[in-house]
Order: sequence, then structure tokens, then C-alpha cells
Amino acid sequence: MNEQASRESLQNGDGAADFQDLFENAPCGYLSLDPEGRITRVNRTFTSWTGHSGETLVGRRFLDLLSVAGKIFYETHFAPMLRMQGFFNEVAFDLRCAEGAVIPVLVNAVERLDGTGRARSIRMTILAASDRRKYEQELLEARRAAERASRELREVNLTLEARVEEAVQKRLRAEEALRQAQKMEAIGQLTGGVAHDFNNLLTVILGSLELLQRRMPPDPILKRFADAAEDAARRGAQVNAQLLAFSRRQPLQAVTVDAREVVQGISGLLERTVNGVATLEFKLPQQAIPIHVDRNQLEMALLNLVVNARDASPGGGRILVEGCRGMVDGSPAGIWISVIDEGEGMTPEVLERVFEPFFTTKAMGAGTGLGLSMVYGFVRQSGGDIDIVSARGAGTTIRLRLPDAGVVLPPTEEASPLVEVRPSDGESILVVDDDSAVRAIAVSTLEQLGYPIHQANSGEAALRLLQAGLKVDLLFTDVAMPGRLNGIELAREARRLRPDLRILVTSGRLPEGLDLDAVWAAGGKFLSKPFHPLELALSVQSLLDGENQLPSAAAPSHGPGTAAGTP
Amino acid sequence: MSVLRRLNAHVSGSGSRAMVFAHGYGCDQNMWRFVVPAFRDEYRIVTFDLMGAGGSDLSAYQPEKYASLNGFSDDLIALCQELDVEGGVLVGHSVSAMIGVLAANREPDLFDDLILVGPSPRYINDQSYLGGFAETEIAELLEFLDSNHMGWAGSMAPLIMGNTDRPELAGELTNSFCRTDPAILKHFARTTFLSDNRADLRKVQARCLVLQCSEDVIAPLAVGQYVHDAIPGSKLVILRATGHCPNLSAPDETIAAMKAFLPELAS
Ligand SMILES: Nc1ncnc2c1ncn2[C@@H]1O[C@H](COP(=O)(O)OP(=O)(O)OP(=O)(O)O)[C@@H](O)[C@H]1O
Ligand SMILES: [Mg+2]
Repeated sequence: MNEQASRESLQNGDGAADFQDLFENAPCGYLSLDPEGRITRVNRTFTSWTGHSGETLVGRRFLDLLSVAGKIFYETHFAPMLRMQGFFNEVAFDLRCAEGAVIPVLVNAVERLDGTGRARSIRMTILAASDRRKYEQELLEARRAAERASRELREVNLTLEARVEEAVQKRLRAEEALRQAQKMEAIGQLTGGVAHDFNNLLTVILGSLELLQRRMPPDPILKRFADAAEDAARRGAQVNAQLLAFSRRQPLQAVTVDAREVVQGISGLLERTVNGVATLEFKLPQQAIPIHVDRNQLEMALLNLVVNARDASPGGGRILVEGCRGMVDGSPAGIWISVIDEGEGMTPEVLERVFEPFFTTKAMGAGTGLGLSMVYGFVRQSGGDIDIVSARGAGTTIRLRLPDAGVVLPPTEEASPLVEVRPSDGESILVVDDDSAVRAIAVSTLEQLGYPIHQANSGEAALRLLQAGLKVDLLFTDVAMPGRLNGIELAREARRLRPDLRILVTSGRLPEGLDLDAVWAAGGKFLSKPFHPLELALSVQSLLDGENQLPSAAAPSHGPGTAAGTP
Repeated sequence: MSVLRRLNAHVSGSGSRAMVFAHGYGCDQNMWRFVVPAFRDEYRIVTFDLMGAGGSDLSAYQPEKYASLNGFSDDLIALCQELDVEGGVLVGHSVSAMIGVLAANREPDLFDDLILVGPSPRYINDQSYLGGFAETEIAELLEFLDSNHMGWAGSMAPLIMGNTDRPELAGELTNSFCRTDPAILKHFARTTFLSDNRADLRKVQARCLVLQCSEDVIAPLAVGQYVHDAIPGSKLVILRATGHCPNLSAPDETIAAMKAFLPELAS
């Protein structure tokens, strides 16, 4: 029946034609098959979809339209299931069309039985499934993505606890480090203040003792007491020096030296210190390792570290002193000086407190608890770092990182020979200190050497004297003084007025924000408190003897030693 | 778990001689439902599901073991030994025909008679041997299964998104027989369609009937002929039935051929 005819019969209200139209033009394919699966009837929708004519389809098996995979599925699943349950729904097949194209379809099949329960025919409804198949692919893809995501989520969950724990630990460590730093800072402030006052006291004590001893009748008993007092005062001065080092207020005289040379220079002392308890070894590179530090303080630090290592190795073992330049384990560049022992090591509780002044685990009198405090302060003040790796029973490694001088070193100079103290040639000196006791000591020491002395108790007072035309050859001034002018400013002003004036500056502790470069810039020398009268005498003398005074504008990279000649 | 439970085995019938039915690829023991009743009175009937199919214990499916048909024949032997089968009849359809051959060769006491329905020792053509499929066609099939086609897998198993927690739904809504896990279905297809057991045919000692359908794309006539030629003394019956499952599409013809072959029933 053609289009035209069917439309006409529809208009005529022909019931059979109506059904015919419904069958032929339904929005799905209809197929009738015999029980063997051979096509007996097919509607127009199906033939138009597949491009196979009705004549070619009738008599063929349905599975001939399928791909190999479809054929196998048909025989192993479709046909058996249809037979067993009488229907089989929503089966996806790809149908091969006349032109070689393939269309995805969904097949619903139902068996029609005869009176004896045998299959009479099979009816198939075939739905076009291009969209649905695409949608299924998307669903499958979405499911795979969801599975991936949930797998990843599971992994995230598994590691979450550990990562939270780690973050918390990190935070706690950072807070602890901050707390520790703040504590050290506070102790530093306190220590610095106390040590400053003690310096003045010790200067007075030492100076008075010296003067006392000169005027004392030669009585051996008196001398013993005086010597004991002087000895104790010196030990006090040493403790004080360590406290100052810790508070990072000590005057440092950084010079450029080869760290190898510093280590070698005190190796004898270190050997004697270790004294057979442990074996001392040195490991130093072939090339120079130029370092910019205060040499004396570095020596002191090394001594402290080696003493600690020795004390931690009562059963012997090796102590290695190592120096090297550059990156170590990816640490920042610098000069690394390490002291490594195989001793008892430290517990975490001890490790946490080692830098605190007066923290010691040693018996009363065996340790002051200032060794590592000094090392810590010195290294930090020098612009370096310190780190300790230690565990109970596993030895200790302490590494100092100090500023690399980054230069090629000139050959080492011969140290200048000590100068004999000689009486004054009549040069006059202006002594400036706000602490009258310290001033008195300086005055009497210098007077004994025959220098005419003038005094002032502040920077302003001293400047007024100079402005008034007071004729002196040398200005000896404390740095930290109350009032408008501190010692360094006074020195600068004084040299503006009197360019040939020799300048000697003294201090036990540098006020914050001041550094000694200003002193060198002012063309002066520095004497650290507490000083021995002899040291004062030598400094004064070397300054007055010095031919070449530095011009006031010059800023040399490093200053002269306290008792050595001006370079 | 006992092998009976693992393979969802059922024993029925009133005879003393055992008749063991083994189903083929794609279905489960349900496919014997039209044949079994005809033998209930004379035999002790054993039906079961191959591991991975029907009601077998899927948790016991080990891909390595079942990568070869020997894994399945091990199960068949264990099952028969558990049930004290001796001198029985093995009725094997499709791939289970070969599983039965392997079991019978290994344990000759188990079966005196083998009835092979639509057997194929190798599906892929090999030089002069015509298995019915080119190598590329089988590769295409396996690839198709690998692409996890929902129409197939979904018709077989509760696969569609999110339904895994309510498997009964999928069963109710679509098809209630022969459900299986899509992953196992794929693996089993690989084992089946890549198998080559031609050499085992010559070793068969039991009496043997080959039942061959006339139009079977899975096991064409030439294959049935090959099996018959290879098994010494075997009998070949070509059924009028078409397709791969005469036990379902032509049970009467199948039953008649079986009865004609079995000595105690042949008149
Ligand atoms: N190399 C080391 N091995 C083990 N413990 C050490 C080491 N160095 C330091 N310590 C611990 O750190 C503490 C503090 O050391 P620190 O040098 O500051 O003081 P001290 O050695 O006790 O006294 P001193 O002021 O005489 O140096 C020591 O008492 C000791 O417990
Ligand atoms: Mg110490």
C-alpha cells in the first residue's frame, strides 16, 4: 500500500487501514519472526531505518543483521532467555543497514505460544537508540569519573588524619621556636643590663686592687689576700664577659681571617683541654676559608664547645673539629665550623635549654652554664647561626655558621711585638666617664704613669672643656653615658675641633644601635671593660706613639687589637 | 564452603545412575528445564551452575584458575566426587561439552557416556580447521565486551549506576534468568572463545554422542563433524533444530536423540 492510498483509506474511516497505518508507520520498528528466528513480517519504519527492503528481509534470520558480537550474544543469551521467560526486554544491538551503516537499537521481544505451550512466533519491537546510547556512554563515563573521584577521596581521607597531625605538629614547633626565641631575647636583655653594671664594679675592684698592691707594705700574708681578691675579680670578669657575649652587647672586633688558621692557632690549647680523655681530630680543607669574625671570641667559642664535648665523653671517643666553606646539606652558604663528639648526647629536655645562661647539668662548681650561652650570643651577634643535633647515647654535633668574608686573604701578618710601658712624655689626657669610681681608677692609673689628667663626667662637660680651649693630647671616654652626647659622638665632635686628638673609647657593652665602626670612623681605638690598668697604659701609650693617625673621615674595615699597634 | 554450595548444585530424580547436566556460556542450569523432566525417573539428576554463573558463589571466582577450561573441569570433578558419581552420564552444552571431555579424560571412572550438545573444541579458524570465526571477529567480540556495553551487561546484571545496593530491582524490571557479573561474563568469554582443546578429543574413552544443530553460528556443522571424527567411536546426530540451544528450542528432538543413544533406554 502506498502513501496516497493509505491516506485515502484513513479519510474513509477504514478500520483495517487504520491498523495498517499504525503498524507500518509507528515510531518503532515491528518484526514478526518464526520460532527459529526467521523474519516473517516487517513494518515500514524498520525498512526505512535499515534501508533493507521488506522482500530482502523476509525469510532471513534476524541475527544475520547483527555484528559478530551481536550474533554470539543472540545465540548465547537472547534466544535462551526468550525461550525460558517468554520475553526479553531492552537489549542493545547494533543493526547493520543496507548502506553499510550501523544503527544502535533497543530490542524488546516476546514469544507468542500455541495451544500446547510451544512457541508459535516472536514479536519484536525495535526502538531507535542513538540518543540513549550516547547518554549511556556519558553515564558510563560519569560513573568512571565518580569512581575515580571517590577513590581519590578515600585516599585523601586516609591521609587526612596524618596530615592534620603533621600540620598541628609544625604549628606547635613554630610556636615553640618563637617562645624560645622570645625567652632568649628576654634573658639577653636582663643579662646584658646586669653585666654592664658588673663591669663597672669589676673595673673599680680590679683597679683598686692594683693600686692597693703598689702601696701595700711588702707583707706576704697581705699579698696572698690581695692576689686571691684579684684572682676572683678576674674570674668574675670572665663570667661577665660570657654574659655579655650572650646578651650580644659585647663589643666585637670582626676581622677577616682564615678560619683554618684560627683553629690551628688554638689546637694546642684544645689538645691540652681534652688531655687524653678523648681523641681530638681536625678536618680542614686545602683552601683558605676566610671568615669575618672576632677572632678572640671565636677561639673562646671553640674552647667552650670542645670542653663540652670532652665533658660529655667520659668514656673516651673521638672529638672532631671540622671547618668548611659553602653549602652543607643544602644549608645556606657560609663558613661552617663544627664540633662533633661521640659522647653521651642530650635528652630533648636538655637540648631545649642549653643556650640559657646558667643552665647546666654539671655538678655544682663543675660548670657555670654559660659556655653555650656565650657561643650562642657570639654567633648570633656575628650574623651567623648555630644548630645542634644530639640524641641520648648518640653523640652531639654542633655546627656554627659564620659569615663568609668572601675574599682572598693576604698572607698572615706577624703580630706586633708588645710595647714596654714607659712613663709619660708629658702628654695630657682627658678622662670622661659618668661612673666616678671607674673614672677614678683610670685617673689614678694614668697619673701614676705621669700623665697630667683632666676629668669630665659627661659628654657635654667634656665638649665644653675642649671648646673652651683645653689642651689635651688624648681623649679617653666611656661610650654609654647619659645625656646628649655619648662617647662616640663626643669623639667625633672632638676630632672636628682637634683633628690631631688621639681617641680611646671604652665600653663593657655596646648600646643597641651603635657599632664600633663609628669608633674606627672617628679614628679611635677601643678598650673593652673591664680593663686591667696595664691594658689601659698600653693602649694610651700606643696611641700617643702612633705616627699615623687615621683621618677622621676614613672607615677602615677592621680595628686594631687592644694592646697591639695601630695597623 | 562445600563444592555443592559453591556451584549451586541440585540433585533430584529417582534413578541410581547419575546424569550430570552442565550448561554453556551465557546461561545457567535453568537452560535444562525442558530436558531434565524426561530423565527424572531413570536417573539421579545433577544440575549445577558453572563458577561465575547463576547462583554460584561469585566470591570464589578466581580469574587465574578460570583462565582455562581446566579450572572448570576441576570443579566438575570435585562436584562428581563429592556426589560419588561413577559410570554416569555427562550432558554438556556448548563450552561445557569440552569441560566434560576434559573431566572425563582426567577421571575416566566418572562417566561411561558423554552427550555433547553443540560442542566446539576451538572457535577460531586455524588453517584448514573451520571453527566458525576469524581471529579478528573474536577479538572484536572481546573488545565489545571490554567496552562494557550497558545493553548487554545491563540485561544480564544489576549494573546500572547506583543500583548495586538494590540488585533485586534490576532483576525484577528486566530479566530474571542467567544474571551474572559483567566482569566475570567478560572473563569467561575470553576463556571460552580463545580455547583450543582439539587435542583432547582423541583421548576420549567413554561412549560419546555429538548433538549438532543444523544452523548454528556458534558451532557450525563442520565443527560437529570434526568432533565426531576426532572422538573414537563417537556417534553424530544432526538435529533439525536451528540455533545453538536445541535443549531450549527443540527439547523433544533433543530428548529423543539422547534416549536413542543411552543403552538402558534404547529400544
Ligand atoms: N657536647 C655535649 N654533649 C652533651 N651535652 C652537652 C654538650 N654540650 C653541652 N651539653 C649540655 O648542655 C649544658 C649546658 O652547656 P654549657 O656549655 O652552656 O654549660 P656547662 O658546660 O654546663 O658549663 P660551662 O659554663 O662551664 O660551659 C651542659 O651542662 C650539658 O648538659
Ligand atoms: Mg660548657
